[in-house]
Amino acid sequence: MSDEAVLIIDDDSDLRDLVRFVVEANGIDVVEAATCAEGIAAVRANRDLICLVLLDYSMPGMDPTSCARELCRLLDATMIVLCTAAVDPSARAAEVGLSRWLAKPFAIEALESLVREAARHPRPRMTVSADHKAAS
Amino acid sequence: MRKPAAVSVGKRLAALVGVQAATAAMLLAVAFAGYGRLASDLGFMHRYVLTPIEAISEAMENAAQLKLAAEAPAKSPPDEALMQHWKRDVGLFLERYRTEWAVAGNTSEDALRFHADLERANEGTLVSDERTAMHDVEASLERIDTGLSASGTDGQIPARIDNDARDLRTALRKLLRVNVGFIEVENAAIERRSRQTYWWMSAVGLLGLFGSLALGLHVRQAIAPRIQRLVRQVQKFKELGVHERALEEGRDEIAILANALDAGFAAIAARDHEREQFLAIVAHELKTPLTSILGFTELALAQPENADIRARALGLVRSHAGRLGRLIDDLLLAASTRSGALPFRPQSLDPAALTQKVIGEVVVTMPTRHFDVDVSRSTHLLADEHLLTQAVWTLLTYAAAVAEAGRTINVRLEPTGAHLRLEVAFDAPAVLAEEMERAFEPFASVQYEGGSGIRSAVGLFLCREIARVHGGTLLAMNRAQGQRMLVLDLPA
Repeated sequence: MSDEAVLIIDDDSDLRDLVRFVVEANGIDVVEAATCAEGIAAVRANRDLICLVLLDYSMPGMDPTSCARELCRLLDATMIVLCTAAVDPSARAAEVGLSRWLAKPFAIEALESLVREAARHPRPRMTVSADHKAAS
Repeated sequence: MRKPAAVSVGKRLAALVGVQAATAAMLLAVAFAGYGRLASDLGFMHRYVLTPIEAISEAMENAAQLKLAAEAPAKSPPDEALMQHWKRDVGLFLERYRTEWAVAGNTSEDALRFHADLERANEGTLVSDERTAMHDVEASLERIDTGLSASGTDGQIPARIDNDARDLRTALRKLLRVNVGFIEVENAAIERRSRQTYWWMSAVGLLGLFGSLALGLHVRQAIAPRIQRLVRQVQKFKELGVHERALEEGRDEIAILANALDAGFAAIAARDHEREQFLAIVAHELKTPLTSILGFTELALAQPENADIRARALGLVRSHAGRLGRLIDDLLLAASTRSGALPFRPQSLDPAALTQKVIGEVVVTMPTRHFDVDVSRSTHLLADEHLLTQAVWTLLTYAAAVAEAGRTINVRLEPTGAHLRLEVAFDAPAVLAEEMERAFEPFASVQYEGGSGIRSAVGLFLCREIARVHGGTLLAMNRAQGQRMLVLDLPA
């Protein structure tokens, strides 16, 4: 049982499984959510553990902007990465108020790098200003 | 805020043409009236003044002959017969003058107008002078007649005839002066009327000129800036693809044109937006499964000993490859359709088997969907297998995308006479009839939210085109309580 976890919020179970395989191989736990509501509930339940949130753009239920806003109220925005298959991922990230994104399809190395970086850095407190660095 | 154009361009131009036509008509009318009056005046002058002047001259000549004869010495008495002849000629002249040429007592239209001219020129006394002169001529002739009648058998002419002949000449001269006076009055009247005609024509011409200029400028100001504005909008749309509403609120032709352009640009912009949305959805549909396929393939390659990951990667490839291939085919065929070159290679095939095969494909990618299939009555069909497979796949994925979660999709294949009917019925109360219609537009796509996530599908434009090249139809029917049905009807 790790003291850190990555939350994947995506309605595609294949993608959730992929993230689980990759992240757990790096010794970090994975919390899965198929909808935004489930994701927000997971954050509330595991706020101290979660070091990174991978948020899909197209999901049933809450719209992505509201979902991202709600997550940002619970976590530092730099911990939330938008996963999207959109043509212009940066625009989509900006649209929902996030500065970091992971474009689909992504290489495993990119995901691992993101996870390692999140695990290496201490989780920022909500009062600390965010370091707006985009993940490529 | 511009004022709406209440008067149509056609009406403005008609008004301009009307003013010009009215000006030309008035100029013609004035010219004709002036010419008619001039011709009438000249005719009057020729008939009533110049012709009698010539006759007066002859009468004066006869009177002179009479006087000369009367003054002849006693030793050579004058020829009385000749004198009678001269006297008769003068008498005939007087009779003719009185009946044909006299202005006094003439009630013809021309004469009445001439009377008015005389009054205007303060020469009204000329008429009484004419009457007096005629009376004097008549009196002189009567006296000469009396004198000649009283001449003796010896051929002696009474001496007073000499005076009477002189009086006759004097009266005729007076009549001549009256007619010369008539000429002067008529000439002055002609000049006055010519000036009037000139001023009338000038006034009408200037009025028409200024009217046409003012109306022309008004028409130009009403049309030119709006046309230029439309041209700028077209240019902007052409160069930047930006569509701004023309905001023409009038009801004239320019407003109609602007509104038509607005509608056209809006349709193009909407079509562009639909195309972008279509491409975004297709890109999303292609990239999402690719993420899992690539990820698990990478993992399988990195961990060749892990059989679970290898099986998962292969399973993903199997389940998604068909769908990705169909999406790519849809893109390529849609492009072919847009360029009017949809490939059509008919062959005899079993539509029941084809439908079963496609349902199998769809179920792999949409395992939560349940299809109730009734394709038992098999038949054969002359169709393009590739196109028909694509059409059936599009129909089924569309139905699977929009149908309510957890509800069965009914697929029924039935030969009806010379036709084959494929019905795909499903419950989709959230999908409006208009949305169903829009699915048939080029680059249409649908994205619906269901219990298992967001479901996307390409529209039915290609499907309808495939039906068309087969000589068939594709219809969307809306039944009660949100039940929808897509019917592909093909000639068997």
